[in-house]
Amino acid sequence: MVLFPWFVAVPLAVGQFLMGHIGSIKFLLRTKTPNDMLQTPYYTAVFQASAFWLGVIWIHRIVLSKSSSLMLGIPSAKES
Amino acid sequence: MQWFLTSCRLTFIDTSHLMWLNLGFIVTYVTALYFFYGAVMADPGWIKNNTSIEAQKASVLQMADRGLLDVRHFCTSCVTQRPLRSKHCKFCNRCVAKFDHHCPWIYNCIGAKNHRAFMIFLALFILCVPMYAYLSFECKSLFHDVCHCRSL
Repeated sequence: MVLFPWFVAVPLAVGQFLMGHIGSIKFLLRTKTPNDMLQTPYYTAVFQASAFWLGVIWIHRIVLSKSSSLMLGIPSAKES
Repeated sequence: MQWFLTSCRLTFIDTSHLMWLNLGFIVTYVTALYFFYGAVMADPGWIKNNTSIEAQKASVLQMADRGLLDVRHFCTSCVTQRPLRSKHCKFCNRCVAKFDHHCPWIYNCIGAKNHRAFMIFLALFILCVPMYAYLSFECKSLFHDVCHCRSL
């Protein structure tokens, strides 16, 4: 599934990241210095959300995908 | 005939290593998260600080009598005696035994009691990432192979 060509997708991804990051700092956390940021659970939330998403994608795209039988090393069992 | 050709082509794709890699990934992933949450929830080795003025005064007098009222043995922020190799964390505003650093990703200090969990988490994390990257790449190329075989 390709929604955009790479020259649109890359700036869009960078813009989305900056919007999320700066928006969280300015409007949600309202911290003034980088040291204030370390006293909030922002960074651990970034890691925990990434780890959760990694697990969800592993189950959906790799284990339950159309090539799942191949990924699990049993190519002929399901295809034949 | 087409079904036979597809089956033959697919059986030649050896994917047994991917099963072990998938298994390795999920075991590493679950264990890494277990140790991660262990490090997050743990008490890193907080030093009990004096909250009352009387206790602080008694501590200062006792340290002065023993000749230990210096920055190595006494924390001026917590106003209490601190063991050697402990350090005051400015983010948590507490002294931590065998203080390593304050980790924003863990949202906790790394000290005496969670250093082991933190190091195991790091090692598993470093193992887990390349496995996942390889699996994602293989999944994409295998999917193309399957589509290619079916279109023949």
